[in-house]
Amino acid sequence: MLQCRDLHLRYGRVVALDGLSLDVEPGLMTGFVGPNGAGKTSTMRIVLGVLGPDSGTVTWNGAPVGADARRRFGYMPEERGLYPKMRVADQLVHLARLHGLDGGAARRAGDELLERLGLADRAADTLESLSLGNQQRVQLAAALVHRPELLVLDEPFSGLDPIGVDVLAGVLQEEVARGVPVLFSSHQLELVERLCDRVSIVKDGRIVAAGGVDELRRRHRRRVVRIELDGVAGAGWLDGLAGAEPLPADGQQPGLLVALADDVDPQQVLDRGRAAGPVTHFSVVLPTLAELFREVVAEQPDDAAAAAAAAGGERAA
Amino acid sequence: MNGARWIVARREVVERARSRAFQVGTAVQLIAVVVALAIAALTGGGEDARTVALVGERSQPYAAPLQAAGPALDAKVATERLPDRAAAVRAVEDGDADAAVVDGREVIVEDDADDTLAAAIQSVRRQLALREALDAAGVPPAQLRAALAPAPLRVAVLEPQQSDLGARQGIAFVAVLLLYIAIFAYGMSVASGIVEEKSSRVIEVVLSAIRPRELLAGKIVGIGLLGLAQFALVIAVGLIGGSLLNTVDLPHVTAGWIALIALWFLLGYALYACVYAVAGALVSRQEDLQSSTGALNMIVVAAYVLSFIALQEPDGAMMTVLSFLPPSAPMAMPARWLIGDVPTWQLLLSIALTAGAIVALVRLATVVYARAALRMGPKVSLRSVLAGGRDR
Repeated sequence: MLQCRDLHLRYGRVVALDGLSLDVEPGLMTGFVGPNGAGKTSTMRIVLGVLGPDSGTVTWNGAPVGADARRRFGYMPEERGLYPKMRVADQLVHLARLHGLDGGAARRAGDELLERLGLADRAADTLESLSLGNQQRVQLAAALVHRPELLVLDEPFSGLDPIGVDVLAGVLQEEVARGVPVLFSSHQLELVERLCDRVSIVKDGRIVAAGGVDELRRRHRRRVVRIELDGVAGAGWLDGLAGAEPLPADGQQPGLLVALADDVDPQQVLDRGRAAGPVTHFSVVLPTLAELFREVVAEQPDDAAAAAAAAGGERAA
Repeated sequence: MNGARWIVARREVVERARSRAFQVGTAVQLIAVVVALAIAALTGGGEDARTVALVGERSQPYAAPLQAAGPALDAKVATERLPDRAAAVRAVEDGDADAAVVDGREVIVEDDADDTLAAAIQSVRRQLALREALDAAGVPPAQLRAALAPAPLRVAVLEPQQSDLGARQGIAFVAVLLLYIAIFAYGMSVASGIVEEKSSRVIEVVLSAIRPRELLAGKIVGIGLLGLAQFALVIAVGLIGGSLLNTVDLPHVTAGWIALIALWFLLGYALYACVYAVAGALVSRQEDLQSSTGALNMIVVAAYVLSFIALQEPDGAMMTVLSFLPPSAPMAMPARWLIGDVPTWQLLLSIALTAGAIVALVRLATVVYARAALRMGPKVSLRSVLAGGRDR
């Protein structure tokens, strides 16, 4: 398990990290989300030792992370890059050896990974002769070639086509199944929601929300219900129920979305609905990660955010 | 050297040796050496060959004394018989002969009446006239011989000069030039290799596995080993080719010479590689490398030019000073050593000074590289890196 505790980092007058703490647990995929400049890349660089923090600690399985532990980490930096003129297989062997594998093991690991990523026939080509998509795959292979005990990937999905996304997601899930803790950052929140067991939301250099994805969604204080009445249109039947406010339709599913104030029981809405007509659908709508993100990150959620909070996935109550 | 440094060094050697640029560069250097040797062979090299055309019976007595005068002229003198004056004029004009003697009365040269060969002919003329006069006066043969070929005077040399000074100077010029080219080329390779890793962004992947100082050391060692091999190959081809063609008069080429030049190559390369590494670490794009290395290139060129000028007077104060200053010592000290006798303590002191400078520069380069390796974007100033950097 990887633990970052109270990381601080300044670049001149700019505070990049302001007491950030983060856990990445084995066998779980952890998403790392936050606006640009919130401190995701700085955190990852500190974990990999590419950057030193002003203060704070990074521990791996309880011990401070040193060069030997880091050699067994796998990293895909946000700024992609390998040696352009080096042959793909040689490149992987070189990186595997830098991570401590001997020559034979490095060659075997490289070949195996190229096979797995469908690049076996390009092994002898230089990196620069590959398409961008294939270069991305080699970059992933470079992070995996030494069978890392921890995977840290900075925006691994950016720039991938849907097939590339599926390949990468599949590989990451295999690694997680192998018991490897995986931390990746992304702005594609639907993807994070789909793939991750846990998510940490960072803002201004500190974690503002962290936990299981479902847990976070449930813990969300804004509650919305979707109710559908047979043969009754409009929201007139809600009149007089304080703290229940109809929201604009999201256009995805039929029914009326109703935002509830903290002191309103969803059952009161259901009772009102049954009084007005036969209820054919009633559910509590959980916010999507994207909605959660906007709310957590925005200092004062405004009406637009409230509207957006209702416009998404839902879960039967 | 731990494992990571060797792995990095090995990559540098293998990938660079495999690159077309390196192969073409090596081929060009070898071709240049062979062409230079061939030109030296064609233009006569070592001993000159001079030919004197002799016309008429009265010129024939000149043949033996002229051939005997060869060593004094630093040349091998041959004579050939021609039927008449017109043929002799043609031969001199065409360059088939360097001079002609017609009927023992006239000397024909192409353009320079004071040519050493013409002077030698005049001297032979005086010798022949003297012999004739003594002969006519009835001097006995033994006395005649004693008069014409007296035992040479004993020569006491007060300030002995090396007879091969010129040759040694020539070799020193070549050595300085080769050292300059090698230091400059491989120093630039270090700088551009560092920038290549920054501009392709692979640096971050590599630095997540190993420390910056390991990457820097491996890169400098790898490029240095490859450079040493290329340098040695060019010199070996030059020496072997030179001795095969017998064009270069090599007085005392010994293993010691070659070892010393190789040592100074390594010292000079190590010294400048560190500074070129700093220049490379400060920028992120190849386009910015020119401005970043500009001042440094000036220093290398100045060290070369000053050493070259100082070579004209190998015992001068300028040469002595240059041979101790670390930036110029790797060129000036081996040059001085090749030409004359440098006291051993001076050689060792110069090596120690340069090595001390290398130690300091390795530290500087390591610190700057560790702090600036991941700084992307426009050129950063050395001052800001040293003042506000962040070590890992």
